[in-house]
Amino acid sequence: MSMIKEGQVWAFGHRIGIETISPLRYMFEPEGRGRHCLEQSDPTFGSRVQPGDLLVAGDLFGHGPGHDHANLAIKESGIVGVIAQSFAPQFFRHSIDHGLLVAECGDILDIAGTGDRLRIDFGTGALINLTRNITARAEVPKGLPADIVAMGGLMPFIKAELSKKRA
Amino acid sequence: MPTIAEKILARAAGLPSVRPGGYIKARADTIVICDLGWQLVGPPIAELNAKIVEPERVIVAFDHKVPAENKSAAELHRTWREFCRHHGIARLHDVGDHGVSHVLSVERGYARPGTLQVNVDTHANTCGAVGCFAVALGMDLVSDMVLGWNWYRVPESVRVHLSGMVRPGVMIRDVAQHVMSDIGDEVGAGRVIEFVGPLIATMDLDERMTLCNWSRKIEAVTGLINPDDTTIRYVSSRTTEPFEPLCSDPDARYAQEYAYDISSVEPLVAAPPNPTNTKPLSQVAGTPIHQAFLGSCAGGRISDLRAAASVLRGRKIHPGVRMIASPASQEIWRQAEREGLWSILAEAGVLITASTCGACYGGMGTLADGEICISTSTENFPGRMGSLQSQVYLASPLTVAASAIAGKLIDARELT
Repeated sequence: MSMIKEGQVWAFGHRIGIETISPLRYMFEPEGRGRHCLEQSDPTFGSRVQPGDLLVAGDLFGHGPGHDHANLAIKESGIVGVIAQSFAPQFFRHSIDHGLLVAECGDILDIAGTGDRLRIDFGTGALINLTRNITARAEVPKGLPADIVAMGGLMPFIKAELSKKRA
Repeated sequence: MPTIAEKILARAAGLPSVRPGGYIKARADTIVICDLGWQLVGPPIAELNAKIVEPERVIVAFDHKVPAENKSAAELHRTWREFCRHHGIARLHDVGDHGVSHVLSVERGYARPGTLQVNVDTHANTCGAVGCFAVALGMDLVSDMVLGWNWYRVPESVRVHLSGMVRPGVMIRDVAQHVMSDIGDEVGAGRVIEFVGPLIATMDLDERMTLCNWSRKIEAVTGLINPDDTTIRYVSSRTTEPFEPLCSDPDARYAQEYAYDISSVEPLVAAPPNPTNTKPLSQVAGTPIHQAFLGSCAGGRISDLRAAASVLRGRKIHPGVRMIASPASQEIWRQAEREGLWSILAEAGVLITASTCGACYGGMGTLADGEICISTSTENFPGRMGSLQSQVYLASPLTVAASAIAGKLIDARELT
């Protein structure tokens, strides 16, 4: 999977919680989960986001009840990767499992805003805001989680591990 | 000089030591899944067509959908039964033998000192009460089940020293709400909260579970209490499986340290919209309520039921209020029966339900528009217990019971 992504930025603020990303009811009613993603923060997001776009957020993105439907909602909306100033730990882990690319960058909200065009290498953390011509570096997963992300998520990773065992 | 968390992870990883920030592969001693966790593990394992490594490590507990309230819940339980039979999972805690997964895990001795436990439920932290590193994961439990291991980034630990005496009318639930709100998720996120100090020795297992459970509210990876005589006695009475307790070294290093004299803690509530929006009860006293809920993994233990019964004995629930009590496990249900607590609650007008997560997540006892609930449960974001236009205040069992009688938020000590 290519780790270099380029897309339009959708910027959100600090402390965007699971319930704001995707209310718990969508865990039990997955229909329309992507379309309703983040609608509490921006009611137009679901209808305007394009496949391949990038999400930018502040501190503690994905805090609150640690369910993974919010990660799925973001993926289903078309977003391929999230760059936050920091992530809630369970959200971060679910992102790796589900192949949602994640990177941490302490001042991303100063670097990128909604409508900017951003290119980021989720393998190395190098990023450039093509609209403002600003370069920066983000922290990306290392070690085993990096291997899982590179394979597209937990399921492809486990399949590869099982076939190694079976071989 | 490692902490208890680092020692447990090192043991589970088969390494002499681990350092915070490092990535490790570790083998969980126990893998706990609740009924509602099916989608996370069932379909992926079917897709992988893989065998479960050491199915004796797996524990399945029905808790959210007990008893099955509709056809889809019934199908869910049936599917689990077939899955457990197919994969040789003997530890299926079916209806009647069930309980909230992590509460049951402590009661049945699955959570043991010095062990690593993974759980799909977000309040796995509860098991830290016995010195078990219990962590809430998601679909990556599949990795534990079919590969036999999972990855971890070794967390830093925060040391919380607790001293002083809990005042009459105040419960460890209030202490937990006070401490975790004060520390906050800026500090707690991604770390282990280790509770130490003279207060711990005075706390029973129920109280320790409440304290560790609440560490989830600040995004902690887990909460932990170093095993002591109370722990060893309790766990030894619950299991014949061997265990080797681990404790932090006296010179262990912490990311941050806090100390609280809890003698000054007063009854508290967590007002909407989050569990760390803590206020003195006195600030919101008089707020009218429609429902009171006594239950959940944070407030449905036997000591919680006893506390509520001490207030409800000989009194009646306010006519404008309905009160629901759901113990956290069948064991607690039976103990409450033996102690005569159910007749005290029922005489007061409390509806007693099956042991279940139930009302905590809006699975029953659902709130309508504009209604306000005082609850011992775990969450209070909009819509958690029903309508997006309802409100949930979180508090101790004493406060919940007293408020149900008064029809409004009230300090149990002020009840006439």
